[in-house]
Amino acid sequence: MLMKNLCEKYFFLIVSFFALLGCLQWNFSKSIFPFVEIMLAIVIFSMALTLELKTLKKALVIITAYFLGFFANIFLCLY
Amino acid sequence: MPLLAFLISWLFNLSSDLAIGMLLVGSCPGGTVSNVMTYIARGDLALSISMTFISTMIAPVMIPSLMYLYAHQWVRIDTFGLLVSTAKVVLLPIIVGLIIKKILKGKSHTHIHNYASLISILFVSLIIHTMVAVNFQKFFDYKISQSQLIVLFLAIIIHNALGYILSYYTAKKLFKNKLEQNKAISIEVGVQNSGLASILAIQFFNPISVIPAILCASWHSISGSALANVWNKKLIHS
Repeated sequence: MLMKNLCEKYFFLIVSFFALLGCLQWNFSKSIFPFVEIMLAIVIFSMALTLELKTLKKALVIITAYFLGFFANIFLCLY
Repeated sequence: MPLLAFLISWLFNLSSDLAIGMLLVGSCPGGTVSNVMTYIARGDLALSISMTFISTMIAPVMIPSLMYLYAHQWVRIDTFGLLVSTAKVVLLPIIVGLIIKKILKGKSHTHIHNYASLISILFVSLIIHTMVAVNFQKFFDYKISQSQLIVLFLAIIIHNALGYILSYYTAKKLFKNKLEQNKAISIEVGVQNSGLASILAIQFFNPISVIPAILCASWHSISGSALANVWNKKLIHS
C-alpha cells in the first residue's frame, strides 16, 4: 500500500527519471524495445483488472453513439 | 488536435517537414499510456480505455483523411496491421483482465488495485525509457539547427497544453460532464499516440518529420504524468 502510494505520488518524477536515463542509450534500454507491445498489453491488462464490466460497457456505448452521430452528420452533410 | 497542430505550425512558421510531423501527431489516436495517467489522476478509467480503443479503431480512416485535408498528402495505413495490433494491445488484455476479475469475484480487491497500479507504473516508465533510448540518436542523425529545435519544442508544448485545456473545458462547459470524465477526456486528448506518428513519418515522409513525433512521445509522457500527479494531489487535499 505504501509502495503504491509512493509510486503514484511521485509518478511524474519516476517517468521523468526513466526518460532522462533513456538519453544514456544503454544497450539494455535498446534491447527491450521489441517488447514494447507486450509491455503495453500488460499495462492495459493491469488497468482492466481495476475495471468493472458494467462501467466499461456504459462508456463504450456512449462513445460509440458520439462517433456514430458524428459520422452520420458528415454523411448527411455530404449527401 | 489536427486543427491546432495546423494553426500552431503556421503561426510558428515551421518548415513543411516539421509541420507534417506536427500534423501527424495531432491526427493520431490517444496514447495507451494515457490510461495509466487517467487512473492516477482518479479520472474515469473506463471512458479513457474506451476512447483509446475506438479512436485507434477508426485511425485507419481518420489519419489519411485528416492528413489529406490539412497537408494534401495521402498516407496509406496498414489497416489490418493496426487492427491486429489494437486487438493484441488493447482488446485482448481488456477481455482477459475482465475475465480474471470475474473469476476472482471481488476477492482481494485492494491487492489487485495495489499491484495493478505498481505494475503499470513500472511498465509505463520502461516503455518511455526504451522509446527515448532508441530515438535519441535521431536528433544527431537528422541535422536540425538548435533554433529550429527550440521553436519546435515550444510549438509542441503549446499544442499539448491547449489540447489539455480546451478538451477539459469543452467537456466541462459544453457537455456538462463530471469531473472524472473531464480529467479522462483531457488526458486522452492531450496524450497522443506519438509512437504511431513516428512510424508513419518514417514510412511516408521526409525522415526529418519524425523529429516532432519523437519529441512529443517524451513530452506527452512527462506533461501527462505531471498533470496526473497534480489532479491526484488535489484529490488527496480536498
